[in-house]
Amino acid sequence: MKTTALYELHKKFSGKMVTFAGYEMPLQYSSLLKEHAAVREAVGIFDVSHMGELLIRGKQAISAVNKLISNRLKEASLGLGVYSPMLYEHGGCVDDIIAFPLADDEVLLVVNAANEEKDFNWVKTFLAKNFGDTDLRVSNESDKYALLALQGKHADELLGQLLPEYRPGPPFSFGHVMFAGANIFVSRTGYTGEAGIEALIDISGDEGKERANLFFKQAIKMGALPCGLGARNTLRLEKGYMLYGQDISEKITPLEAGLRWTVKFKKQENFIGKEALLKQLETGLQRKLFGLRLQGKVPAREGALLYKHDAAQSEDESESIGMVSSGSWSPSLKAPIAMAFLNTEFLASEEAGKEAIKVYAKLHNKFVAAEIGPSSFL
Amino acid sequence: MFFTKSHEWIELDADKTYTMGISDHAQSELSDVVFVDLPEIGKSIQREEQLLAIDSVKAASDIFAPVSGEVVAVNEKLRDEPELINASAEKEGWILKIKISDSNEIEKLLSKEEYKKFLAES
Repeated sequence: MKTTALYELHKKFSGKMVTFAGYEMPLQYSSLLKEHAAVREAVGIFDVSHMGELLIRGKQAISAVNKLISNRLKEASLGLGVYSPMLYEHGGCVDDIIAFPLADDEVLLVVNAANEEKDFNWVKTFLAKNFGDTDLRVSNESDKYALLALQGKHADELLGQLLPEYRPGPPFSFGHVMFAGANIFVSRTGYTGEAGIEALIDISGDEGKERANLFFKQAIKMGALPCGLGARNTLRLEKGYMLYGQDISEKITPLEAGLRWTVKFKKQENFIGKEALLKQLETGLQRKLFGLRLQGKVPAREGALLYKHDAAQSEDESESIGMVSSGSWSPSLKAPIAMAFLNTEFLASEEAGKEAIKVYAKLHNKFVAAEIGPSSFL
Repeated sequence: MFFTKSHEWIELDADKTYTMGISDHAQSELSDVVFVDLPEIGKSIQREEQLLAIDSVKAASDIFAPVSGEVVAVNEKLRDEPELINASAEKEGWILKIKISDSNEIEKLLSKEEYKKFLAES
């Protein structure tokens, strides 16, 4: 089992630890609801050091990454990262990542913890096959960094004290900022939909480990609430952000997941998976991701099946018209919400109607009505 | 008060009638409860079989019948205030009352001391 550099600190703050992607991570500290509210109304701090970091170095780094991802990575001088799926030839997702062009010959990929090894091997094989005669190389730097996310409606006020040199830029902007005697990498990114930053701190030496711990402790001293993976999940779900393995996966294409905006068919480079996605556009999607707002109080969980009618008419599972990919209680809306894939055939049918489309989720053996809408809930 | 290894408790109320709920340890594991799927009064239940489900913000969890018998009352307050389970799992947050069919089943349960020991060991 791996631990992060902040493990002792999590225990000190009574973090309830769980195993996630091979790491012992805090699920929650005080209460998931309180932590969620802290981010929506004030500030929270998360240790997300389990996330992976891959570094691609070499002359054609940016154009190589543009072949690996469907979204467009721009030149380094603009100082902007990009969120993007990374696809297989068949159009399914290897992962969803954030790419930062640190320099014209250096790109940092922040990848999902569970996919770190797979992504590293994928990129390495791709480079060997397509750029074998160049100086392009990828290295897995995941163990070298702590990643801390300071997020919240009032994050910038706290950042004014914690990182006085930091000037908030547009979403996905990044740069280096002095903290406790060293430059740390700071990006205007997050998984909560609130203002804030994510900070990469080099922990290869003891001093670095202390620096990462200090960052977390000082943020708390200045008013941030320590938040666990539980709140991270409800926060991202309310904003309709994807979770790899549930809302996108090897078997789900970005078009199906509603990520058309991350697929740049017209960019110069031919990216892996482009042909498959063009074909999918031509033949039409079989299923599409939507948001579900459920009646009552029972949250629909991953795997819950959706039906056209309630009880009597559709006991048979073969009649289901969709499935929940992510679902939970929404602490902000005080109601159950979910993301779900729905058959497009049903959506186009007469039965679906023209107004608000209603479906039924089977939960605890009861049928619960739900309304279909956008996958962003706030 | 008696406990099960699946973290339910029961306590004798009146002749053959027991109040049941989930242990304080269970509520802390579940975290913030948002819904309790209360069964109907009159439902007959079998020991160790699934009795109801509790939804927390985190996950849905099955709750098992600690003894066999019949559901004779449910805590109606939980419909509007499921968070009572977090606030007071072993008192105000009781879930239902069971009329036990075989009082000998009580012997199969853990005493408070035994349950504490079980938690410490697991």
